[in-house]
Amino acid sequence: MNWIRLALASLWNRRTTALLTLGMVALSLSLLLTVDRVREDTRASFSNTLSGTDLIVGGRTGSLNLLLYSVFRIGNATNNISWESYSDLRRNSAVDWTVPLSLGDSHRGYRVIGTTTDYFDHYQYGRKQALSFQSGQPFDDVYDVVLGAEVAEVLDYQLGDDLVVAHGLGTTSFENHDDKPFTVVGILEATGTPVDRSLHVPLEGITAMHVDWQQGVKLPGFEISADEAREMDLTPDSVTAVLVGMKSRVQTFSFQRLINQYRAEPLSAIIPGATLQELWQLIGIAENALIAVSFMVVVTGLLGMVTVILAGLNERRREMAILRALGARPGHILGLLMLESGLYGVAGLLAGLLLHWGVIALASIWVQGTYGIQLTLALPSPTLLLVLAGFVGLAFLVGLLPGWKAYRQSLSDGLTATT
Amino acid sequence: MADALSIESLVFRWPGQQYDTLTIDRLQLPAASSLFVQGPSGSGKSTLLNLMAGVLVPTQGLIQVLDQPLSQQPGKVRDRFRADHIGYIFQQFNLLPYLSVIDNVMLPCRLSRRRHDKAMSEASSLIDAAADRLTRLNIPDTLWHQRVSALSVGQQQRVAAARALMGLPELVIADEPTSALDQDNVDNFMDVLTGQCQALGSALVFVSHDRHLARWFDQELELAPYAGSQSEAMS
Repeated sequence: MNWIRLALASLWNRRTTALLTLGMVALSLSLLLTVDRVREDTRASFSNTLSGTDLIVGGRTGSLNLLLYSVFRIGNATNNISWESYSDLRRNSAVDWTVPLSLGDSHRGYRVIGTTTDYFDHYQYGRKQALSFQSGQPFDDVYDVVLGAEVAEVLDYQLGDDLVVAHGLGTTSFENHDDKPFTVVGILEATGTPVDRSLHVPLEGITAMHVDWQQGVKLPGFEISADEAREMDLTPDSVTAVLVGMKSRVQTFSFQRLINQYRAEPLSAIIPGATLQELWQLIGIAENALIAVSFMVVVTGLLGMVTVILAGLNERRREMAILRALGARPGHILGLLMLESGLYGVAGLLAGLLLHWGVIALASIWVQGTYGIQLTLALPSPTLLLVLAGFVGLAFLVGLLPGWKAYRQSLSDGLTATT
Repeated sequence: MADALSIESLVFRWPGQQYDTLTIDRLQLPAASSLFVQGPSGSGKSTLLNLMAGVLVPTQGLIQVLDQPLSQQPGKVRDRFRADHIGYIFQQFNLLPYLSVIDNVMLPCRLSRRRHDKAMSEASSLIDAAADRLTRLNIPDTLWHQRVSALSVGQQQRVAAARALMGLPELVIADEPTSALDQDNVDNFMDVLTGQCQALGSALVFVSHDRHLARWFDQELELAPYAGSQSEAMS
């Protein structure tokens, strides 16, 4: 008890050095904590995005690519599925429901998705949670749009507002479909998934926007007004991807094989969960590298701390001699330095946790907006807690090094340290 | 009553050295009396202090403090004994800079149960006991809760003496405590230190190269200038 008081008072006396050392330890720990938190939350966020969908079908492409562009709205499709193939697979007796997705347009940086009202009935996220409406209802007319929660909030759209869709992706676009504005008829509840950052229009709306376009460019002098387009046949030629629900999950694998061997057109079908596993394996390499670097930074912090204590020992010979004169055993001196080292560890851990939570609280606003990943303020995972307990133990243990040096010093100095 | 200190046929030689650093045939210091040890630099004064405090053990011979054969006991026991029975005053920088004046004075009672109990038997609290010592050594109470750095060197040495006398140790050892003081301060310090040791019944061993201080003491021991050359002459 008295020794802890003495160690604290002695540290306080050297507070500039002590606080800088503490900052170094805290910073190194908060890096480890934050990297681990981002890893956990990224996984949780990806796993929560889609649920209840048995297969995703797209044009022939890599399974990861298909998953990323169809569900996470990352990257672009290289091939589409023709409407004939889509109609064919929808008619298959094993299929319960399908949700076609047509991608490629955007509105002020947010992606526009052409789909059907089945989207609002069958799309599920998290633990089989369905989409629900904050206000309004699903689209009905060709030029209706349903907004994700974030789009409505950030761009401040209300029901009844009109908006114009840009051709292609990106925050600014030189080519707008400004002749065919859409009317907001519904706003979805927040889900914490890419749905929040999407605008949903009917497939026919996508077709209508592009009736006077060819090969991605507007045909000059050939304009069809919004109302004229309404009278045309707006069945799309193709869709980008299809979410499929099976009547029985048992049939998933045979249906997947059927799609992958589809003769009329090269198609790919993936099981979202399995492909997500592939993604983890890929990301795992980078994650492990990051964690390894974080560990090394923590070890560097510990080494720095020991260096600081060792470097200060010579100036503290007088302090040690006074304690010796008062009856402190050389073992007490050793214990005092281990205690000091351990206190750095404990205080560094607490400060590191606070710093980590502060960083997460600040970064979560930006990360949520940019990547749609929800960072959580929480205690570290059980594994990491074990690692942290180990760290505190190690912090006491490395105090043996300066402790041993001070022990030797106090034995040879006795009561006659002259510093 | 037991002698505060007795030494017989003491020889100390640092390992690997050719000559003895210190030789003392016989020395006896009765309880509550005072001894002045005089000798120039290199005469083994520090070594003698470390031996009496039980930090070093003699190469040959016997040191008894309060009839305890200190030189024959293990380090742990000697350290415990020092905490319980010996008050120590350094040349300079006696006080821990991170504790207040009064916390420095209470320190011996925090590290020794025995001295804690003794202090509590003469005062109602440790703070009162420390206040008594500080008053005895003429430290004004406005300084008691100050940082050590606010004190003059003379005041710091008197605080160190107050600390050495906390919990009534049987022996107080002082290692040239006046070497950094000017003459007025030296006289003042010597008066209160010897006076209070006597008043509280602690024996005092005082080491200095300044032979003018001898008049404050009951006994005197003069260490030979060069222990090495002395033993050479004897052989």
